Amino acid sequence: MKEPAKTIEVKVERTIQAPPSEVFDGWLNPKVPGTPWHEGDKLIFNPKVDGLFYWLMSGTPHFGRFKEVKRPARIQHTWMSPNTLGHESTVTLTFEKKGEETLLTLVHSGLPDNEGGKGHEGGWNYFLDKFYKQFGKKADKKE
Amino acid sequence: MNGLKKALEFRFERTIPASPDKVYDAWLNPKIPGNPWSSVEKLILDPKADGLFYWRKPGMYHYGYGRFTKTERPDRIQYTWVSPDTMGVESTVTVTFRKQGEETLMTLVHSDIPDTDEGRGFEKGWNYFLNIFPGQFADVPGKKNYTATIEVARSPEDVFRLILEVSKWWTKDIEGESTKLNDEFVIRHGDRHYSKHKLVEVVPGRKIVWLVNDSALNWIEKNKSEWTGTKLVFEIAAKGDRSVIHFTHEGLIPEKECYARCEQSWNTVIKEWLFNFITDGKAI
Repeated sequence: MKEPAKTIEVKVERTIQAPPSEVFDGWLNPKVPGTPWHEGDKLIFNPKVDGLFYWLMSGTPHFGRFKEVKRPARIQHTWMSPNTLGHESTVTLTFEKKGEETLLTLVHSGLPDNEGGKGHEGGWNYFLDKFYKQFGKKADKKE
Repeated sequence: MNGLKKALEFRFERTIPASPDKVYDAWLNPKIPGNPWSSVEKLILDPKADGLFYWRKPGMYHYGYGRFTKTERPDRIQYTWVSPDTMGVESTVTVTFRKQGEETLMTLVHSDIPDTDEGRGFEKGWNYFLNIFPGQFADVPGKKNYTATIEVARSPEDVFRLILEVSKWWTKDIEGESTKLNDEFVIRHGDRHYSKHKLVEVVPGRKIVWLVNDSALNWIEKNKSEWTGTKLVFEIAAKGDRSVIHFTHEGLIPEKECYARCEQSWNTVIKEWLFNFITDGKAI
């Protein structure tokens, strides 16, 4: 396979009721529901620059390598699975302060332009909906 | 997974002149040519059970990930292997090391590979590595590599620069580049000699190492590829205002079929041609 394959990009955003540092820490904590790391059959996870991860979800192996871990603003890592056809795709998360809240933006680029690649949009929405609720709950309790 | 039901399996065996623990350690040491972690541009390697690895080589789609599942020194190493060539599927590599007298029978089985062109390519890939790997063990005590030492009236910097001009002192029949780290060049003498060399260590003014990563000495009767996996090492040292060049052909030991003829040839090439070129600038 020599020619670069055509790729697509998926972008998902959520405004979360917590400051960037809390949202950032939550995202890298496998104990927090809504992070991909929380679900699955097996996890090996080393979230630092040049740290690797392995995440087995419903029998599908995912591997990746952290390229940027800049608390509380930005995380970037590679992402490879059978659904990327074994190609390295890139996940970039940014955490932007919006008053008392955080705009979490997840961009997944370099995905193959096929069913498997497009399926990531639904996947990330599934996780970010759950993740969003973790912080919502906490805010509700305060009231 | 992904409708790829048929899976391929490849099996390779090599007898290696070293004990199982030495061969086991060498397989996990990125400095040893012929194992999959060697000659990569970037490597992250954590060789323990549930440790992960990542490697990248120059070029598009030349990278991979994996996960160690067994590290049972000195008997067995098992890991998964995931890359564009496996289409992201976790294939399995199992390497076993069995003592056979003074030697080790190393068996590598790569299974669960998707049945695609890229998947079938693993057979060639492993043979490439496994033809180089056993040659790394020839340098054991009691086995003497070919060496030659010459002294010249030039500075180590000059000597270093001149050795890199391979077409001026070894043979004009050279293809490729021979000056920078990871350069590769091919030497041919008609149909009789073919060898491909890679610059695996380049220390200006001090040292140059070429790994022979492919070869065919067609005048040899038994093992025509016996140069493959050997190394040509040039060590340069200052001696007053002169330089001493110590040349070693690592792996060219008296037990090799080509030893007598290769010894004669190297004596000519190093002690006459290289010496003349460095001393007088007289090219062959």
